[in-house]
Amino acid sequence: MEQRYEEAIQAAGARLRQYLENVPPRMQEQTQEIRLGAGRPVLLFTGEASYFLNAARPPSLQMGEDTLIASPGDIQSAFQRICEDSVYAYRREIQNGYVTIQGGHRVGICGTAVVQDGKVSNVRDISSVNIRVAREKPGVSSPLFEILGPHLLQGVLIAGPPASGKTTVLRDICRQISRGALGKRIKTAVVDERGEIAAVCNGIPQNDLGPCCDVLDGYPKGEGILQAIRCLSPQVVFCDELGGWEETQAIQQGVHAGVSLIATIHAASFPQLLKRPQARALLETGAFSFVVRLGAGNQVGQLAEWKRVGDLFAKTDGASASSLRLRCGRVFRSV
Amino acid sequence: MRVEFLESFLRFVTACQAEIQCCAIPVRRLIARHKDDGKTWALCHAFCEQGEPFHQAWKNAVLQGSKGQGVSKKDVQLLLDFGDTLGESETESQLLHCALTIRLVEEQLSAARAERAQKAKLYSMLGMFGGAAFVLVLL
Repeated sequence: MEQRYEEAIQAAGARLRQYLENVPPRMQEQTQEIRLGAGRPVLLFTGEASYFLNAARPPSLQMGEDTLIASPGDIQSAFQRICEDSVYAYRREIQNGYVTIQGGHRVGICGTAVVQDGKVSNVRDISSVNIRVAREKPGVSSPLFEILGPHLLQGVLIAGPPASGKTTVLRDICRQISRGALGKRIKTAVVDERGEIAAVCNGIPQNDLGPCCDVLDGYPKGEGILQAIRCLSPQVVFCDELGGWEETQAIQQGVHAGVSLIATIHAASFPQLLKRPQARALLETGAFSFVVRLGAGNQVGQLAEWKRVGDLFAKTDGASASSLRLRCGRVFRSV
Repeated sequence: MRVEFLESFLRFVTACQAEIQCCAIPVRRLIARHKDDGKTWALCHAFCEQGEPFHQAWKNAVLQGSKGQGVSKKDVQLLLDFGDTLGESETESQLLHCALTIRLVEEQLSAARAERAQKAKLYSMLGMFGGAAFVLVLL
């Protein structure tokens, strides 16, 4: 059985797990998501299509009489396994709607929200569980190294739609930089708020981030960036899924400290990226010199296009790259 | 033996309370950390390692581990009730649950110690009278 797939199906309860174990090896390698919904068929999503999991035959595109239906008991069993039978230990994750399990696989949780003071404080009657299979792809960021080379250290924002491989690419960039792909080993720090980049388990990263990497596991991004800068003297900081205003402030401090930043953000296109006020604010900090967009589809981490941030603004606002730098006052530390 | 069993349980619940408050450690890891502190926790850990859901593992471990320990039905029910709720709610509720259990165990422990002291007196008195009767018979 493929190791990553085997790790991911541990989130499922005993009844469904025995059928998931019997999925053909080729499909195991292609499976990106396993979707369990109460009263609904179990689905395996490969990036191209959704397949129904069957009891007596391989997964199929059409439902059959032996197609497995997840019961409420299966969902509850999966939820208990995901939370290690300890709701208190995963309260923040449950409030955010996902738990990262051993191996770095993200499991989305959906149910009936318990709301307090206008915020989701808990989720009850879990109705569906969506297991995303995380995979390392060594070398997936090599095209970026070929295009940008040492300019990667001037700050790169990686944009893409969901499941386009942003975290996979980010992880590979960190590994390669830490290992010396840019001519010498560079000190890196990863602010891994959701535990997906390094997949730390009992203090040990399950994913290879290179020998010169410190991992701040579970830290909120803003706080993590500041702590990394104050305490770990990184040359490059990595973080995933930027988007909050508090992160922008922390990044501004990082810019003044001369620390490079490589991060990801949700956006299907550059125009969509610039429409988001938080994204514009991030780009205006001067922390990023380049923006890269990944494509959708079954090629995880596929580079679709890249631009200099100055050129991106010039195209939309008419501002020049030099005026952007004067506005943001970026100080580059020589590496 | 009942006293030792309850003392072990009291230590376990106190440790749970501290570790949940400090580090929010999941229950399976709590059990793994304390598996050497008593037969019941070792059994629970073993059942969890075999893939049993925690609450099922706890129940089976308590029922097996309490045999031959001289514990009362009330003691066993206390352990079962603790395991039923362990891990089921958020941190504050878990800490309250631990505090309540500690109080109840302390009550049971006091009663068990009093019972042991009483029985120790009774057995020593019986021993003395038995010895005296034996001497009288010999004479």
